[in-house]
Amino acid sequence: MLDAIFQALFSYRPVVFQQGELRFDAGTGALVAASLAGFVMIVAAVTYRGVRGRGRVRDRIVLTVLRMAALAVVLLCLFRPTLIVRAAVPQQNVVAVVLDDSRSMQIPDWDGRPRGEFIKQQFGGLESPLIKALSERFLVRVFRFSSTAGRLESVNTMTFSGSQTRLGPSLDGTREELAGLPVSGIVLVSDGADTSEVSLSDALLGLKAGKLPVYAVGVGSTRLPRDVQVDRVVTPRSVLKDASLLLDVIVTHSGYAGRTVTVDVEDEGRIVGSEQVRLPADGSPVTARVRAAASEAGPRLFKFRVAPQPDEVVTQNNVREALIQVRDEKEKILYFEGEPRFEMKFIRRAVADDQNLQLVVLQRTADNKFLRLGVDGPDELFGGFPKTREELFSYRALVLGSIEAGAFSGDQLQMIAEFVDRRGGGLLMLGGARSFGEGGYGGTPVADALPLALDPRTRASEPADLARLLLTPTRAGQGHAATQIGATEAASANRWRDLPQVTSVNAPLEPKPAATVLLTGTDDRGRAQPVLTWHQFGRGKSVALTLQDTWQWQMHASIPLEDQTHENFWRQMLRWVVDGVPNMVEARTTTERVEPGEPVTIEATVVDKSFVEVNDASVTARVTRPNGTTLDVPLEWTGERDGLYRGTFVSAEGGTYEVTVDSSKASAVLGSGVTFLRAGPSDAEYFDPTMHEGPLRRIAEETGGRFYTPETAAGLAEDVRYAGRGVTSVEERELWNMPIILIALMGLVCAEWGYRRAVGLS
Amino acid sequence: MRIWLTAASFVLAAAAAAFAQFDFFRGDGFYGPRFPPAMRTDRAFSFCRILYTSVRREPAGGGWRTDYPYGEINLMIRLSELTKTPVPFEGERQPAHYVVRLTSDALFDCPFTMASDVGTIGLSQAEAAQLRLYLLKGGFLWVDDFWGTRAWEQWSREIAKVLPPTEYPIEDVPLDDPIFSSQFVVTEIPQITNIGFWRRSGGRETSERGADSREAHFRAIRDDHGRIMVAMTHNTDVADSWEREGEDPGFFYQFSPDGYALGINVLLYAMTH
Repeated sequence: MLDAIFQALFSYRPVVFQQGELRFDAGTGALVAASLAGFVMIVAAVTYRGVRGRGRVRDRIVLTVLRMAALAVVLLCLFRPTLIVRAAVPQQNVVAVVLDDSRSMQIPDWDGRPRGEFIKQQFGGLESPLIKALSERFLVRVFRFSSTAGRLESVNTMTFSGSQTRLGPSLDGTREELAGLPVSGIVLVSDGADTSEVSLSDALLGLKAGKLPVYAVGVGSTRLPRDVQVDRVVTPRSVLKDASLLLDVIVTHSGYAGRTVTVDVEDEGRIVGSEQVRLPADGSPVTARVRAAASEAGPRLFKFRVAPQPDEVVTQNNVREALIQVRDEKEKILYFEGEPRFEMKFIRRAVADDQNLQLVVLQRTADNKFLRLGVDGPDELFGGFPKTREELFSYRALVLGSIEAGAFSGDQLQMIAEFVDRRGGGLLMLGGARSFGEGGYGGTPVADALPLALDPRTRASEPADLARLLLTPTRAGQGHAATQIGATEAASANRWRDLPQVTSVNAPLEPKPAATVLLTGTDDRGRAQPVLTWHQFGRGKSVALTLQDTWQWQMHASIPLEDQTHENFWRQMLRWVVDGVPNMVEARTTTERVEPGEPVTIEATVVDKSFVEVNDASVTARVTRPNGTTLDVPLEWTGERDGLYRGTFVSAEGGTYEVTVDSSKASAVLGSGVTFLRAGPSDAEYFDPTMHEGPLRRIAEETGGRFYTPETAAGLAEDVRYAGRGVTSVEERELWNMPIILIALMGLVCAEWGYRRAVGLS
Repeated sequence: MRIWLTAASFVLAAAAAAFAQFDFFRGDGFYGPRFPPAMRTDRAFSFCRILYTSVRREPAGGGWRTDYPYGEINLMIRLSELTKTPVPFEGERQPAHYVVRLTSDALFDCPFTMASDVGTIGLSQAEAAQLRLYLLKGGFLWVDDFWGTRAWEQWSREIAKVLPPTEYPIEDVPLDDPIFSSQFVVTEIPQITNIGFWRRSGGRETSERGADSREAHFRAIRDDHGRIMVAMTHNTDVADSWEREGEDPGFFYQFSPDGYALGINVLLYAMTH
């Protein structure tokens, strides 16, 4: 609309003014006329100045200015202003039309019709408006693009079913295709929803270097009237079997504020969790924290779904998928207890039924006398607490019960700190008469690893006075997987409130600055202290639980026999402590999903038994394709980082690929790691399904082109003509006869007359 | 064997030290039940004795108070000396031991309990239900000092109210069970007689019911995971080897090392399984 008004007033499109060079062609007559006009202007000024007694000074100034302006306009015309523009020579230049053939072009938000309809309407036949306008001026080459790009014979063969929009590579490909030809510009028609991971910047550099302007037409609405979208899900890539997952599902929407929707979590089609969430104001995200169970082992495709809502424009973005590796493995945890006490017995009982936890107990029963429980063989822990890193690092978590620092050698204390820091293991210290400050850990390497601040001057001491504590989850604890002891967050909070008192004999300690407190305890005098605190220490996590008798949650008279609070707490706690602990070989792919046929990059981190990175290992990935065939992919040390190996293969058919990375060194096996990858079409096209004006406008502006909407695209062909690229000729465009000149002149004259009338000078 | 001898020497040395300080060898006399306070001041190990109702009498039996209180006092002292177990002491090194009724909520503060002379026990429905709940939640009961067939029948009839044998059968515990090697290696179930019988027999006879109690048994009821919930030492009076350890060196040498080895093993088992 603005373009049309501009062209009506100024006779030419804005691009002519942007690219043209202004010149004046004043002949002798014009100079005489200008002299005369100047004389008249001086006379007029003197006349107005001399007329005294009639009107105010201000009126005379206004009238003088108006008269002068009118004369100036006339004078301007006498000088024959002209724009010198370079216009493409008809039919001598090529214009590339690049059309988006991706799925998102099916979204019906172009006046209620699919976006692709615009393409078919404007480019579908020889008489279609835009293709006709371009064809009259240029040699037109039409391309399509989605995940791949190529020449297009007929727009009518477009199906708008591409699973990706790769703007950058498409523009790059088009530029290369037209290399050597006189090109006036590229017309890009798309919704701008780039779903590739390739940066636009590289493509833009090429276009700018080739001086190829891109005229981008953005199709679609920048805001959908009614849409719910599962925006993002936060899931682990790998979990233990039977894990209770607490998954954050972020939902956005437009047009459904105040409505309550249900977020369902499906494990291969079976609903394993649900949560209701009330949608906030338009555009504001809301997080649904859904509890779900991972009860089936293997690579599991989890779907996070919100049911389609009435009148929803796009329903494909109501579901997101995530591939989670559910591991049916036993995580081996070493629990070193310094004194016989019931806490250890009940922790063992609580996790006895957990098939994925192996709690190996080393119980000091007397001086230099140990009881070993849950060991794999007679040699395990035969010499007491591990004395080498290899032995200690074979466990994935370490629980220190009521055992004083003096029970360890200096190297063993250092090993425990390295167990967390370097090996990435989980450390849990329990409350007791011989732990924390009372156990003499102040100033030791273990104190560095702990999330509670121990004064280095603290020496081992008698236990503190017994503090009876009622526990409350903190805000962080309310949503933490380890502290969920109810079916819902609210039920969990209530359950914590109802549990019997537990006790601590450790003097309260302050959490370290980066530590997170999950549970606080309040004693009989109302004093609060951190009870469950954790922080990340190097590669691993370190947890402090200052209680000595959680067995009360099992044995207390108020706890029914069937109550599972104690069992659930300890299973969750120990599963959390071992969660994310790395193996000697950590395999991963750089992306969780690829299109069939796309290359896949495999990366693996390899360490030895002491968790020192190995750069000279022999590393091979065995890829098992969905059809069961296998492929061996050698991985090479990257040189970028110690222990990092990389290799690639090309995916073939869709489905789940299993990647097992084996590593060895000098014929000794170091270890292996497994990861999974999914190949298949993505629904990414339907996420953030509005027209993305930003990238399109950026492409246009950085290349010297222009951004259009379907409403403004009519003048596109004319704009390309004046792009100044390709084979051009110089044209003059006279400006004196623009309607705006006449309008301005008449306006000034009328204004002077009207002002006179208004102030009584006529 | 070496371990056994080491244990014995430990016990002997500790006994001598204790003898010099305390008067705990004195076992006779009446002691009222020491019930736990409303709010205990610690959560460490405490020996809790079950106070039950006797429905019949056994020769030389004292019902629930048999071997009370010096059986537990001496055992707790030995436990604190021979292991790292933090044993709470009150006043003049008096270990905190308690007597609990089966119907009391205080029962659930005692993950370890013991009862003597259970050949006389009679359990009400409420007591049986509460004891069942206690055991299935993770509590541990050791019954001791009941001799002969009649006492066994009485006990097995009463415990059947708690844990029906169809569901929880009573079984003999083999000597390779972990309970016999928690700390000391126990190679046989010791038959320990009360000191009065021992004196009367001149220290030659240990079966208090003659042929009817010739062999000492260690039997148990296990839970679904095979963990012992109820330990039964039948035809033996293990607690007397603790209670009377200071009364006669002969009695001590004959019985107390074995009694303490078994006692401490059972306590450690109860605190670990």
